[in-house]
Amino acid sequence: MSEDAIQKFGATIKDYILEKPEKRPKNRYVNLLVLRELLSAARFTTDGTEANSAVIRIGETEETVGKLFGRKQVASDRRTAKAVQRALITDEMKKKKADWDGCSMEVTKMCQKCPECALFGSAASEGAVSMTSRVMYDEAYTIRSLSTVVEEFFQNAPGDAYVKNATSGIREPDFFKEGVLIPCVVTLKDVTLEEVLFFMNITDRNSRYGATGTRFGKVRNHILGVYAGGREGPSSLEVTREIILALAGTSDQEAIQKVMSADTLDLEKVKAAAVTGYEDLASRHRITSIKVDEAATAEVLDAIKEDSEVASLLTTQLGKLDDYLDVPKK
Amino acid sequence: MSATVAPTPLAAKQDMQVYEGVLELMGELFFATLEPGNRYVTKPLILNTALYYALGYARGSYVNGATGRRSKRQQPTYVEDTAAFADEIYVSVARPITPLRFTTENANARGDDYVQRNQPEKQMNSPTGKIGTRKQIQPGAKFRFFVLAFNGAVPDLPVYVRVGKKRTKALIEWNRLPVRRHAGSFLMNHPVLVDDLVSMPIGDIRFSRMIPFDVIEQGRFEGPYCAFTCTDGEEVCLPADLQFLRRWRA
Repeated sequence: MSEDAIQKFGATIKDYILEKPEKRPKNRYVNLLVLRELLSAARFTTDGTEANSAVIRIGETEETVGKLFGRKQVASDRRTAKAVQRALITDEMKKKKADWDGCSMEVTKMCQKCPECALFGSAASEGAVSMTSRVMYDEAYTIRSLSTVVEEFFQNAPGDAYVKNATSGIREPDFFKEGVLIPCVVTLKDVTLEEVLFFMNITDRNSRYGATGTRFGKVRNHILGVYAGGREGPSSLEVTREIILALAGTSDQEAIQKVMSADTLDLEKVKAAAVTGYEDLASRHRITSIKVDEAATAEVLDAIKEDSEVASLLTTQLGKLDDYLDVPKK
Repeated sequence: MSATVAPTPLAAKQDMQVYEGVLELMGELFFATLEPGNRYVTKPLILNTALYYALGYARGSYVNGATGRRSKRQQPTYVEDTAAFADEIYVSVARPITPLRFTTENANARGDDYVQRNQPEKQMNSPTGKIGTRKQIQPGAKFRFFVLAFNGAVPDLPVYVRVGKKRTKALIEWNRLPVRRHAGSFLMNHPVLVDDLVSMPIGDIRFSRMIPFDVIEQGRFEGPYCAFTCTDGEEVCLPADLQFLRRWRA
């Protein structure tokens, strides 16, 4: 059964994936439409205090919304992916590279030998080789306005001694509230079936996108669809706009404001609006693609839910990397 | 870089089409145009060296090695990558046409070890180095550039492209513009690389220092030129004999 789901998936998108990673781009795109749902308050800041935000325009309405940087998604996904590799294919990796130490997320210390480095890239390393990432993220935006989704919390860390001085452990960082929905489009370019599955598994299992130093930021990633084609799909920003317009029903400013300041949003309605919005945008821009919908995607995720399945995917992928990682001498 | 194509005077080519591309940022744009200390600044110009790859006309390699055993520098291969169509297609530099909003944010690349120092062992002055601030252009900004096609070439006009160090998604709206061809004195009012020009301007020059190639944003020239009216009504004049990195091919 599980084999079937993967085979069927592979056959559906076969024209837009590669058998083996190749060095030169080919314009084979696999776009994933993901809805990230915050299950606990999260901090998305760059200075530790202020929530990341951006001004976006929906029709005639300009509004400040919360933002989830592309690189915050990358960093979290990569940490998960590296950890999965360490847990599952350390032995395999050691066969290829005897001193493999589990690879690192430090920019200059990536091993550049593992399936994760090959897929996500590594810009500058001590080995003087650079690899372009074949996973591309969009900056993602909340559907509701910043003032609706962000709350300022007073944090005081007084210690537990009976007698103490006033300390400077007092901060008021911004938190994104639980329930916040962030539509994201992630694009995989020129990847193999194993890489698509690995990425889907990471997206499915990664549940922390908040600041790594905190204990907050539980996220559930709903993969709403996989769209494979010869062109890149619409952006997160446009999908967010489409969702707001769909929920408002009109492009009337008042209706838009009402959606953007709502206390809660209906998850199912947002999901449906995201899918319709993405597909409408794609057809407006003459982008054709082969679609694997949420239900079929869930079947695929189900088939790779066991660690052993992921380990065998990664091992297969590792076997395909030899030519790819070989850098010709000048 | 070695010369692989003999430059052909594009002015001799009669059949020319101009496509206007209006590029809208879907995320924050970051290029490391200037690197004073640990600050990385994005100048509001997108060079055509980037656009050739973004539009898919030129193709790089996913895995790149350093130039030599001693050096970690990497040598771009613009001339080789565009050799096949340098006579047929020219892409101009993109310049902003809407007011820009900038933000500066901190970048702090950390490992994923459970125990790690707060201060990096070694701070590197590079955009992928550990701690720094990046000045970026906010989403929503629009840039305009042109694709000139000669001799009946039909360029691919993709709707979405990736630009910048962090490969920000951008949406492009394309329009084909009618071209008028003239000769004489004219004011070039759209930026091009210095290395794309046959001759230097004779006056009214505005110049921008960029990496890897400098840009002339405006200048008065004498010679054959093409003029077209953009969708927002702006008149643009470009020399008719532009060729991507002409000086490198000669």
